[in-house]
Amino acid sequence: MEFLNISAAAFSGQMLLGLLNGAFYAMLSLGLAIIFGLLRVVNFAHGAQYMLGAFFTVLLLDWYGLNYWWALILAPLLTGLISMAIERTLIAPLADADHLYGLLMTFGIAMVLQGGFQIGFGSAGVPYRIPSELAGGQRLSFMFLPNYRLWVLAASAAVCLLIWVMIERTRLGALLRAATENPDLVGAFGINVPLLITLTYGLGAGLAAFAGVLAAPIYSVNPLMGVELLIIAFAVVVVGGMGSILGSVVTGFTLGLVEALTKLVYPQAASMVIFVIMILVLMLRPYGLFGRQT
Amino acid sequence: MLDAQTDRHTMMLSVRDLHAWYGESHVLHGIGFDVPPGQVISLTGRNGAGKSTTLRALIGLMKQRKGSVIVEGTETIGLKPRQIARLGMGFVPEDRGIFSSLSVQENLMLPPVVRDPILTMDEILELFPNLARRMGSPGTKLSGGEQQMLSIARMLRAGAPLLLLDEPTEGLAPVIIEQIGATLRKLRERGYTVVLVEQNVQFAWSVTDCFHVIEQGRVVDSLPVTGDAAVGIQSLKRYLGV
Repeated sequence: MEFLNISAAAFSGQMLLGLLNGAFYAMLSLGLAIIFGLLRVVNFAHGAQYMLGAFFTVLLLDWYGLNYWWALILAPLLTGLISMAIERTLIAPLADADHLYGLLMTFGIAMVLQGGFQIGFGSAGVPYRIPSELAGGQRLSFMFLPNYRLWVLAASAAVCLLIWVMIERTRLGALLRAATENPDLVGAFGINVPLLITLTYGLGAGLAAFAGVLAAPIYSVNPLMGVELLIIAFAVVVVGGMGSILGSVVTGFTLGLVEALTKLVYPQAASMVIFVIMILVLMLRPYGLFGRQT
Repeated sequence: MLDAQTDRHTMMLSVRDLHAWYGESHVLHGIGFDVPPGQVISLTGRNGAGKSTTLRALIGLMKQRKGSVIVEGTETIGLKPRQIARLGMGFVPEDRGIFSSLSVQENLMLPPVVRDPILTMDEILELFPNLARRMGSPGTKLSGGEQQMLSIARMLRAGAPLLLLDEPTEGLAPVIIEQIGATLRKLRERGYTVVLVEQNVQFAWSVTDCFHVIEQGRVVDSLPVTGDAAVGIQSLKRYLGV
């Protein structure tokens, strides 16, 4: 069965790839949105934190013999803790300055982290095996469905749902939403807002690292692996609406699919279609598809 | 106006020589007053006199402030707003501070409980029955009066025995203002201490024990609520130029 000279197998394959890319866009932009919502800082270190997650996955295996499943827990935790220390010592002191200074600081942090890993591990990619439990795939009538990609989709959807539930349905989430709206007033209620900010930054960075662990067996683990993905994640956040949790997730998956569809129909435009959409959204609805006009 | 012999530590709130700045602009010039436990005092004055700024300075939201603010025996100058709130000071801002992304219930439950509340949750909802019916609604879908009630109820649930209310009647219909007045009288009966910023002196007279008139960032007169209401209100209105 073909439509526009596209076979069902090619279509399904691209859609799966689109969903997979969308899963990474969603996780990365979700972390960015959470951090932007509370800190009002565009976190340029997010790509480096994603890279840290992937490298910790490799290093935990090489140095301590800890497998993928351990890495799935420990790499986000380690990245989160390191990022919380970075927030306390480098970003928090700039809280009262223009947000541009925070942005520049996170940009500097990203450069230092990427440069440090380039010195330590070189620029060539480090391979990481798919865990044996997730090797192989399902042979369907029209395509081959790798188990690991299915796992990535399921894990990312589960994490996005978990974060959404945490933010929308728990007291911690209510505090976070309130502090996003009016941090001074939340502080005047007796809440430790600086601690909330540090935890939020750690959570956002941990989410990026979780995406990095999921990416390690698929993409080449290298110091610059987060750079291109981060630029797309920024576009996703803008299209979804700066600081919108739901917007990041829905837009992340949707733009992954749109990119994949473009690859089928007009491959030359695939790398820019997300940015064309971003420009259109900025022109027609600058606060994003799910954002609120302030 | 201030009795030098007053034991400031027996007061619920004791303020002396309070100065505050917005950047380079010096806006409070040595505010001073005492609030005994269980009393309602009103700060009144013209627009821009420094009434709301005084409340913001008391809770610590003015980053630059100096002087002395003692809450139940504890000096709060140098403390952060969150630490001051934990001493039992509940701030109800002029814009009511209702969070649009939170439901009525989430708004109500947001502040941590800082003391054993004087009123139980049931009593609070009895005081504000509209809130009980609209727990699931977004906070900003409430009417102005309901938002004001939610803002006060939020601090009552947190157990703050000292309430700072900034213009609670602003923009409300007369019938709602009467409800707010009745609520404040009940709160005073139950032992709450209230610092009220209010330009509507007619309303404030019915709930207040003592007025402090603020002009250009300092207290220029203090009038206990005694005697003929009409005479008292008239003399307050002279300060307000109305």
